Amino acid sequence: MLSENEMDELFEAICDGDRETVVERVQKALDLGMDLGDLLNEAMIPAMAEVGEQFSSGEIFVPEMLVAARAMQGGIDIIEPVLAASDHEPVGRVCIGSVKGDMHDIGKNLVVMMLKGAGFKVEDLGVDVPISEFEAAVERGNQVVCLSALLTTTKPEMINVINHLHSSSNAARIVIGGAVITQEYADAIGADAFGEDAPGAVKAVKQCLGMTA
Amino acid sequence: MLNVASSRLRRQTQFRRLLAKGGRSAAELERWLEQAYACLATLAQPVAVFRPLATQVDLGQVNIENQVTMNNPALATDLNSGSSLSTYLLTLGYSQAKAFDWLDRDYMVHHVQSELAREVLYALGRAAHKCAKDVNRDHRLRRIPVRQEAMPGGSSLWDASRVQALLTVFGKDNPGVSLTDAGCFQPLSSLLGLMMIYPPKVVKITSPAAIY
Repeated sequence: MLSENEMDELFEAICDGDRETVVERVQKALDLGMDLGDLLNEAMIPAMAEVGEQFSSGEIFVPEMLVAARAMQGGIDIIEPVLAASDHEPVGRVCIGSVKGDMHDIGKNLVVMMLKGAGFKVEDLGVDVPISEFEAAVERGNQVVCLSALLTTTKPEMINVINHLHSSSNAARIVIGGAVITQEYADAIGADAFGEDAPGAVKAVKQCLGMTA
Repeated sequence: MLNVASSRLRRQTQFRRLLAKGGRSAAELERWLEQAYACLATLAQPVAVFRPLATQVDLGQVNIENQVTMNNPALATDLNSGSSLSTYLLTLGYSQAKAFDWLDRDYMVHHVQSELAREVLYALGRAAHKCAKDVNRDHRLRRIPVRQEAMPGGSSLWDASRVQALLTVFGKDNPGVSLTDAGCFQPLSSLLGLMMIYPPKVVKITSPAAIY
């Protein structure tokens, strides 16, 4: 078991983007036979949630969020193979893509990083994604579909995706976001939730899955 | 252009702040900036194309090459006064998907690369404007953005079909830039605009004192 102090150091190392310290602490936890699910849930995922809060409140900017996500990734790279071998289930399964006609990926990619940091298994469908690919992703077991649109001319495509998926028998929930998207728009077109920024998207996905944010 | 863009990016508050902190996180960001630089140095094939336009003015309407009509009385007046209109197309010539693969699908570095690409595109625009100024020495140049309905927060002047129509005037000189049906450029790092070229001003000197 890592000591309380070492757990705090792991938490701070993720927040500070100190990948070397994260890797050291996680490797030590593994060597000590600590429950890695507990390590994720008690130190690592809360650290990324803290990073998300700091970003949303304007305390830190995107580069700081990125280095924190990289530090987190350093730990995940050690943990993931071990958890996979033990049939550990991810927190949830999410697919994400920029809708048809939209080639922008910068916001979508930030959401991918934050979702992974929150313990989700993420299938990135890319950009310019047709409805059929979102549908296929749901059939592969994704529980939440995240739609991104940066342009006023591509955001109506979200309506098509939502109508199509909601008319199917699957139970996938739909989260939308992007520079031109608002809560009002999400409500108007029948999305299940709205993410105002990358950390907000993580909260929205958790909300869809009935998890505490 | 890459060096100029890289310097500008580092001066942006979001980057400057983390770099100034020092330590391991700053070192990580520094590595990403270097990788992004290397990516663009390898993949980017920047091109700027200028093309004079044939225009017809009818009251306040400007017809461009029988492809696009602009309802712009000020523009019409300028063209009737001897100014001419050109269009310009800028691109970095590579896709974000290609960059992502080049960067081994590293989301973090790819983000930094996207930011650097935007700065390089602006640097290309400034360099192209300077070239246009050198060719039109005594003329005043004014850029008219082709602002699409698509851009968030921008006033709408052009919709995707009109942007597409303007793009067609480049013909075989188009360096591989296309538009999705929704008006998104492919490659993403591309810009289309208009440039008004005003004739040289005639200066009358009536007093000998002004000369001497």
